[in-house]
Amino acid sequence: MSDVKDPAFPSSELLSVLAEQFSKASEAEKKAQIKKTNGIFELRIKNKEGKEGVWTIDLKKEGKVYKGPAKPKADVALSLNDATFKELADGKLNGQKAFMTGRLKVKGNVMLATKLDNVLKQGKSKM
Amino acid sequence: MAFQAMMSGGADCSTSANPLSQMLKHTEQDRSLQRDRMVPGAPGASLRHLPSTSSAAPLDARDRTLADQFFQAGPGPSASPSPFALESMRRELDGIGAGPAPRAGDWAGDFTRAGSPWTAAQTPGLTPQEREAMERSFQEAKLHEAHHVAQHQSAWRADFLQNQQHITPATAAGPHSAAFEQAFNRSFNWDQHFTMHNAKGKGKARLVELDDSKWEEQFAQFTSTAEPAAVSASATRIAAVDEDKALEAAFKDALKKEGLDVEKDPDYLAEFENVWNTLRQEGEASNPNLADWEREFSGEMARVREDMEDGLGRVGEDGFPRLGEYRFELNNPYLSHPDPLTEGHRLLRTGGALSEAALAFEAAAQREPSNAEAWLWLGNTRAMDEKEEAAIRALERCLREDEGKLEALISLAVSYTNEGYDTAATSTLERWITRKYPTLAKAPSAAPPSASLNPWASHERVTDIFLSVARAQSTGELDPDVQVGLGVLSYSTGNYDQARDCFAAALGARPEDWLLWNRLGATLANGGKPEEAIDAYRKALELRPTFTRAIYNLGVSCLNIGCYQEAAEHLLAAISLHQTGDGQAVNESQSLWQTLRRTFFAMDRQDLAALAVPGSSVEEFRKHGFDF
Repeated sequence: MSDVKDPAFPSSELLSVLAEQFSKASEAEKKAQIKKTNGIFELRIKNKEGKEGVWTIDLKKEGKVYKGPAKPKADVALSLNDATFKELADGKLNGQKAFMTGRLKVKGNVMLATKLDNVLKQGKSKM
Repeated sequence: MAFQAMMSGGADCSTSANPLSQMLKHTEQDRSLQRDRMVPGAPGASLRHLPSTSSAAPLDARDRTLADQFFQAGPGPSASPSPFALESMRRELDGIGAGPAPRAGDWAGDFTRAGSPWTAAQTPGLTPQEREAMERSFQEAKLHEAHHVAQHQSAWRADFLQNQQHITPATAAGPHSAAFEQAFNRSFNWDQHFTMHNAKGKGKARLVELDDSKWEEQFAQFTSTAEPAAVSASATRIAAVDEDKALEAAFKDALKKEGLDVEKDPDYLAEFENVWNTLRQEGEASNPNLADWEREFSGEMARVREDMEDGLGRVGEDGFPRLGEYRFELNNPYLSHPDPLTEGHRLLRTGGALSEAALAFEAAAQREPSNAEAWLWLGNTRAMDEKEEAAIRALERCLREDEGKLEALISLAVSYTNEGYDTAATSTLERWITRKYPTLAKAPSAAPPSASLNPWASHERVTDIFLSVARAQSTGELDPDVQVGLGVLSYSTGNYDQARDCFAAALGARPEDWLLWNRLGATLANGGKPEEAIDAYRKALELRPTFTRAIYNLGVSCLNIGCYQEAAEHLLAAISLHQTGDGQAVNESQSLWQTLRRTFFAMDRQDLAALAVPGSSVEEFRKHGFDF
């Protein structure tokens, strides 16, 4: 999705991939993911220049990813910088470590923060 | 002094450097007594850890009269007409900000005010160990209480009323009593408050959420209103007030720094709604500020309520999925079998198809719904067959029939983790370890960090428990399940290296356990080592060739390394294992079809992706050149 990606934020590439995955998913898949996650995540990402961009991952009402603040309202707002988000999405860093080291700030329904790792990772192996 | 202690934290602080959470953690301890009263879910369990009457601070005559006075008195001699001192609350509100900030009424503040002497360890009463014990038993009780709400409401109320006497002596002793009692009378009505909480009928866990931050403020503001009355008090009293003010200031700062993030938690809101409605009725005329956030609040409430009533499939506030009852297959040939449970085991032993074995176990469960063993094996088989939701339903039912079935707890924790219900997995593992190692699990450890700000607080706590048990076993006999539990905990936070070590250790003790080989494989795969993962899956399949889940995982790993053809073939093989009979099964595996579709997209074959929907026949795909 061209409107999700923002060249000033390299990590937004991953968000646009996520957006594409959601749009390609079937209704049943989307519904299942929504039921499991049941939350609207607002990502406030700050890039190297200090600019802040906001994206929303809606896994509560519609099952999509878009640029801009949450409509109607986010359940949890996560503040992190571009590099941190990239590492999270790549799996190099997990939510807990990011939080512990202060690279991830959480506001709102904190329990949803623990779900972020799952949301970013599609197609996990099963134990 | 107490304030300093709180701020510097000490050895038992959480890893978070947040002063707010440290404060909250500290003050959480104080409420342990209160919480024990309110948790009837395991009244025996929680009360067991309470100090018996004989060991509590001895009630002297003066304290007893004070206690009686305080509990029987209605609104006391002060000027405020309302039992809830709304104007001071509103002042607090204005001071804090415009966010929706429901205050649970002064009772919480008052109780905490009562708690403050404990914090400072200034009064006799519970020793820190006893407090810890209560805290821990409360935590355990909290885990159990999710399903025990309704029938215990009256029980805990009676319990609480009986035990009120215990609370007062500790807090009313000495020069504090007069001012305390007076202030308490002025702005509190215990009965009414607890009735309200009862009426709401949510899990008692709500009460814990309530406590987290609001009462601190109320306590602070309450202290400021109580100050005039305390002028004649002793030096200790004055010192306490100073501490309180400093606390209040620091707390406000910390809150502002955090941006009041706890405000928006629907858990708090759910509980506060009821309290607030009652407050509104009894309170003063409406104030424009009140109306604003009230509106926002009821908007939030409507949303939360709607979510909660949505029923099946939604995640509850406690992090557990609401999947409902198990759904049996129709046309089950094993229903007429004389002993389906044994037959199911035989099928598993002889390497039969997992779907067949599952049908046999379903028959067993249908015939004997109270047989936890049948449900356990039904759940395990469904999990192996890559049908996670069915597995979760069966395992949850198993635990409802027999909450002591340890193997079910482990399997369920694994299933929860696979589906992303991390909080539920952590709670389930905690249940397991406290059941299996009650002495070790209850060992005095670091005070539980505040759950409200650190999303991973309970996870860390449970991991610590597992680690201490594992360490205790490092010299003697290792329990592979402890390693499995640790592995699952590490896996859920993405700590795949540690998880791998745990599963490898478990495999050392159980080298023929195909489930463990698959778990090791999944850990390696998610940890970014697909080739090693594939080796582990192959080992699992050597031990059990019909292990559908391992075949699915093979497909996922092949997909990740770019071997799309192979990936599709593995997935199709897994699906074909499912399609034993005619027609679509009740318990379909969404994950198999979804991953197959992703594979086809990766191959740029939209046509095949369109065909890959639940209910299609796999035979179709043979025509397209897939060999399975």
